[in-house]
Amino acid sequence: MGFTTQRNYRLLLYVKTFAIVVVGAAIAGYAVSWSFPASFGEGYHNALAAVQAIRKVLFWKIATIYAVIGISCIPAIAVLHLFYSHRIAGPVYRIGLEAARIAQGDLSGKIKFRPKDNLTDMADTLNNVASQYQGRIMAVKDCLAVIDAHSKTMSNLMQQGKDGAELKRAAEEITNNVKNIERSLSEIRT
Amino acid sequence: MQVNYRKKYFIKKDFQSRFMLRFVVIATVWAAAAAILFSFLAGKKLDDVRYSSHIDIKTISELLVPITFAAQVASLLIFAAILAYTVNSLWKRLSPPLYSLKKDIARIAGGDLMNEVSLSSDEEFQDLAADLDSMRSGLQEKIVRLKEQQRILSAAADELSRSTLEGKPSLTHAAALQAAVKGLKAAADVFHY
Repeated sequence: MGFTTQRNYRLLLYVKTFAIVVVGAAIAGYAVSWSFPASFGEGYHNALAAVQAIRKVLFWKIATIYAVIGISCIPAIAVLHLFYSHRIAGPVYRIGLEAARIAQGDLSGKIKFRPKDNLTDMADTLNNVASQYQGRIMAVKDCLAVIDAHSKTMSNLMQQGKDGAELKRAAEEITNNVKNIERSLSEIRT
Repeated sequence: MQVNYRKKYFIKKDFQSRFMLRFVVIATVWAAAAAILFSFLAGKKLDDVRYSSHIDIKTISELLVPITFAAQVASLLIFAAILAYTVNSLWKRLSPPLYSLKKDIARIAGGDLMNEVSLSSDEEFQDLAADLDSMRSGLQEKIVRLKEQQRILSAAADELSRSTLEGKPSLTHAAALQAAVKGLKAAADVFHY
């Protein structure tokens, strides 16, 4: 149970998100090392003083660095997921538009997606709706054209006062085509 | 002028906002967790150094690099697991409604216009379900009209056929049939392709 996605969509989504955070982590690590003095200084007392100084500011420095890195990563993550969510939202939007067109009676079924789009199976199924109903309506219209032609023929024959085999043949054709229309429409359950 | 909405990337605001928010939240949680873990480990190490009688570390790097590495690896491993869970749960949320809608579309293609297209109220893609149900009801309305006209045509054809077989063809019946043909044609012409 699922829906068609671009190949490796989930994996790419995962890897790219993870890559952004790994880059953020690397920058944060570098920034932490860079933000403290390089050496403890000479002698036990100097080193102890340096350690105490670092200890005092340690939490807030690290918190600030990670806050800055986090805030920088968030737009990158938001943009990445905007694109990835669009690969579902875009097709959903297109399918909605196509459904509205079909509701208005447009059975051209022209929905086409971009290569990286998802939900291509749903689009194909929707195109199938259009083609199935198009086929039925075309069959109805073809039968109607035959009925129309035969009914005109019958009117002409009647006006000429003929009432023989030709009339019966035309009536039979009309009955057959009416049955065909009935059959086409009865397949649709309303 | 018609706007090509596909050029807009923020097209389904609710859905896309929720999609993005999940990942923004876990990245934020990662940053906070990494900062806390890092400062905890570094603080512990500094306290060890401070209370030891002998300081054998010469540079800050010697002190911080192993802690940085440990904190980053631990936080990234946790992040990787949470990210996997998030992607998986996102899929579990998106798949059922889309699968259900796909089945509904296939059902409509098969000629079933009776059953509504709907999703549970807590599922995603409610607007798509509404669009598809409008499609179903639009088609249903047009097909019902076609069927009504087809019944009128069938009745007119029966009358004409009966009178012809009885040897008393009537121009009135032929005219009624032509009127019924026109009616059905008009009902069929609402469809275009």
